Amino acid sequence: MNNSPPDNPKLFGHHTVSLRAQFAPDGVALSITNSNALAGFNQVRIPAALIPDGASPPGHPYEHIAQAMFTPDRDDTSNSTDTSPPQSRSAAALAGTRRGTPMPGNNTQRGPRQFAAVSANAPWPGAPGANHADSNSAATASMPRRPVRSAQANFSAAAPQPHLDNSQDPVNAAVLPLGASPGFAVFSQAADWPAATSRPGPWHDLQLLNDLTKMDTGDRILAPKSSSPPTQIMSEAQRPPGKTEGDSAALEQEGAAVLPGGSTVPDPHSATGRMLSPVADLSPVAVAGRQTGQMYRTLLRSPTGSGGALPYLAVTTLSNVGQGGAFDYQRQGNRLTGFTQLPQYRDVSNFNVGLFCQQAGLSLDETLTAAGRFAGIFSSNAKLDQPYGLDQQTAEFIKVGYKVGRSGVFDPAPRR
Amino acid sequence: MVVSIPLKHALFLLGMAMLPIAPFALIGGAIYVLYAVNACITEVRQDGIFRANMQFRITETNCSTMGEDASVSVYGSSASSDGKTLLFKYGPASYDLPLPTIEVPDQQTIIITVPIVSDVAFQLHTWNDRSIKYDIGQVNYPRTDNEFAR
Repeated sequence: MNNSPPDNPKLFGHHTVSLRAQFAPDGVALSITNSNALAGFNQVRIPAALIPDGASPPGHPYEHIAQAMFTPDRDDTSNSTDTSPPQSRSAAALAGTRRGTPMPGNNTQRGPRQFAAVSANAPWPGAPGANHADSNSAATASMPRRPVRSAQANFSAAAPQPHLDNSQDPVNAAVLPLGASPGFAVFSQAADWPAATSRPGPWHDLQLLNDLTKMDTGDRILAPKSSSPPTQIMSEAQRPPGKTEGDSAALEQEGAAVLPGGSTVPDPHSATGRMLSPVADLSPVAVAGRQTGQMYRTLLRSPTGSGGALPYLAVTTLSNVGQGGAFDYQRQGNRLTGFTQLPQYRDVSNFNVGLFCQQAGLSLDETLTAAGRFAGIFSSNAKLDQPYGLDQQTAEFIKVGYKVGRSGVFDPAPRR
Repeated sequence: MVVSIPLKHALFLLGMAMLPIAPFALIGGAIYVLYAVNACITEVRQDGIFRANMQFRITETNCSTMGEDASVSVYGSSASSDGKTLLFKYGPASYDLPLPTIEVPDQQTIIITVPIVSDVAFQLHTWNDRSIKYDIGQVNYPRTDNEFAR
């Protein structure tokens, strides 16, 4: 074991590994139904150092926890300086770990239960060798460096209790691109993994970290923050047959909101782990927001209509995402006959508020301020001691909707 | 010099001065009335929970303004108390999680158990000459202070 201090601390940097995790108590077999119902998806963030393949490990107090491979996103072709032929997705298969085999540089011997790692999630269909626990022995393919926004990591073993992040914006997790090597070993210090939230019962043992793992470098959708019990992360192989991430039809049948491009919004409050919506396509929310913004700006520029711009914006926004509005999916009915509550659509309704306002051109601060003021006046559940006076879960999904809108995923196709 | 204006003239002038803002006042008033009437819907989720000569009721309140929020409240009432008393209010962590359970193990204690909550909005720690203990498995958004505790 190398107990010498890192000889080049600058090399290691200060990065954060974001894990989309799923939690289940000890002794409970993981399945999509029971584990999601128990806790859904959660985000775990771990301070980490990334060491390029071939470099010497940092030694004590760092521990090797994973092997990572940077791969460009599908849309990551801009600003590329790489002239080599495109690498196929499958060629970027991740370095894996055999069950019970210590990773190179791993300076901690672990118990067998902690080595139940499976392969990292390969998020594109048909990736060979993906999702098979024992099939992906270490074989980091050499691949050219390309512009990078995210990385897949294979977490081979349990580390100390993870930091269950409760303080950071879930969609702002970032790890900067590193170095010239596509492959990295991920190290963390035990001291950076503070004890999890104390709770009675069998939740204390962190069992393993694997799969559904991303290190992000941009505005990507991660699981909303949540302080949840320590975890066993469900592997891709444990998903029900036919329920792949890109299977839009299956997701729609499941009741999930499906973003353009086929991705979904993780939601720890949903029984499926995905944000539920009565309609899968949320594009009409974005369209209505854009139209409202355009009309508002037109009125503002008009010498005769500028006085009506703000009332127009207020009335249109409320008629769309306000109480009983077109995109208030939590309310069914009308003011005359009364509303029915559909609490399972709370998060998507808040998501719609953020998306609509972003597309209308409001800032996030304006959006949260407006929502908070309405809540402060009309809602008995407003949290006046919280930022903007909003319930934290409410604010969180307004932010997620806003940032998804800002990511450009709902932008109209460019005119030809 | 003091100018005296008859009351009806003063009211007329005030009305004329208010005329430009009348549409805004009407719109604002209409929005206020519409929102205030329907903003929150409270449903009784569990009633008639009798424990040691005390009765408990659990309600859920969902509010819709510009954004949605929710809360679950536990009320208690007894022969010696006037009406119902709010004992516990929290944000539900999800829409399909079990409601809290209430136990009265002895003459001094009430135990309210809930496996997971989003946040705790209110906790009463003494009621009806008994201490209330809370067994909350997990708080998704814990507060760092105890300002809500009484």
